[in-house]
Amino acid sequence: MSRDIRRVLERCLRTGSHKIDGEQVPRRYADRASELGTLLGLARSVSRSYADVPEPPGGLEDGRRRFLAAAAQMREQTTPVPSGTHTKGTERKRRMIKTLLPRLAGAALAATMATLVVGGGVAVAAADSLPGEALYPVKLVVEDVRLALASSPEAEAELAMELVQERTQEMEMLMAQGEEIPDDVVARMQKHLSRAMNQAAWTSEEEMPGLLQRMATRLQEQEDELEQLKIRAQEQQQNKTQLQTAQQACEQAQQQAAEGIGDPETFRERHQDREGQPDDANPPDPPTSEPSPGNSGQGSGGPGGQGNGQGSQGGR
Amino acid sequence: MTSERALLERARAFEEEALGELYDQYAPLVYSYLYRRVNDAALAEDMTSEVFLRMVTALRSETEWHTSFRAWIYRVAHNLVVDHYRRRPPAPELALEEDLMADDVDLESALAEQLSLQRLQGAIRLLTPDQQQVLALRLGEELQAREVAEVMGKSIGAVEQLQHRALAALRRLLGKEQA
Repeated sequence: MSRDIRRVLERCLRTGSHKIDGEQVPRRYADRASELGTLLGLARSVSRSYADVPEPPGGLEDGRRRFLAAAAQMREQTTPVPSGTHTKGTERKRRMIKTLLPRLAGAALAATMATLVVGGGVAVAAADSLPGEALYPVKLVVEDVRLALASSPEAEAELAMELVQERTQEMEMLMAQGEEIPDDVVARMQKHLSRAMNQAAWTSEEEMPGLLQRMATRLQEQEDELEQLKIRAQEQQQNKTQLQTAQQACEQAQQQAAEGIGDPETFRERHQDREGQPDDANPPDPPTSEPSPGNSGQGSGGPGGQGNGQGSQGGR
Repeated sequence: MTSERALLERARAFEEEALGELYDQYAPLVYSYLYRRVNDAALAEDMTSEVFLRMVTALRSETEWHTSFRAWIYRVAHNLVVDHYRRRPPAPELALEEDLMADDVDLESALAEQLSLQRLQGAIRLLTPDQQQVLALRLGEELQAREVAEVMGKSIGAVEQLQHRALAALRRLLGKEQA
């Protein structure tokens, strides 16, 4: 029921029902009009409260000058690149291609075959497929290719976490259809968790705390979702074992992530393995607190994720 | 090639005019979002400046946007907010919460009065950081759920759940639970 109201609420927000004064709940949701009307009324109030933003004290002019000055400086530094040399970015890509090529070969071949045989739109269609359906193997191949193509250990760990969520959603959909959850789905989730931990162990000293924090948060959400599913499984008298295993895996991973935040070195020792090393031929630089030229100021992961943040705190 | 895509390509080449145009287009949006999250105009303006400096850094290290620029720039801002609160967690507002919970306000009439701005903003600050982020992006910036998911690095389902829980929590804070 809570999932239903969640979905209906999203549909109403998407269509802007909360922006209309007075009657907000579409007639087709009349059976949930009371709860939905309250939530949409709150959404409208929140939306209006957000409209009250004061003008920036400096008119954003100082930031514009600093931004353009930094870009101009960068323009001078980056051109021209002498032939036979590499920028940090291109060198990194070159090393990644060298490392990833063998790993990619099988997956890329399979993906190419799938594309050639059944057409380009299939990968998109496969994204919503479930275990047991014809397109599900294609979905898994696409996932493997995405993992292999991840641009950094951090990106790969984030993607692996996304796939953990995908497995949970598959379990939910299968249960909604009254079907049994195959053990393979749980096993694959465990592989994603292991991969996420392994890749997190290869991130830099600056990246790791933020990444592990985000992973721990997401894992908590997964545990909550799985707890809800377990309640439903109790009623349906099936899938309890699979859900219990999946939830325990998430719980254990969350605990490992939390421990890694407090003791990164032990986390690295425990979760780094050679198979998951980003570049066998060129081991990554040892963790350092010195920001490298290519990623200075990154911290919380993802774009611009970290933070030296000093400029934002300073002087007003 | 759309004008937006062409503009972004020129920005990748550090073309000053394109960068200026991007700044003029997005800086006010980023500032509004940051203000809603930190509730301090001067700090929000500083953080906006930091977002765009990080854009330069990202261009240099080739870690810039590869799909949606809008989602990417909000993600940079989002990460700054996360870093900000990690360094300086928001002070717990127990007194406000007690006040909100103790006040026996009828929800329907409160809604009819459009809820006082101060009261509502106080309640929003009691939500979890993720819930606040989702409301600011979804209802303040009017991003779609999939864009919010991209910004926050979560699934669409998780975003839908967060927005539902956020509004349900506001309902509890602002009035009596509807039986």
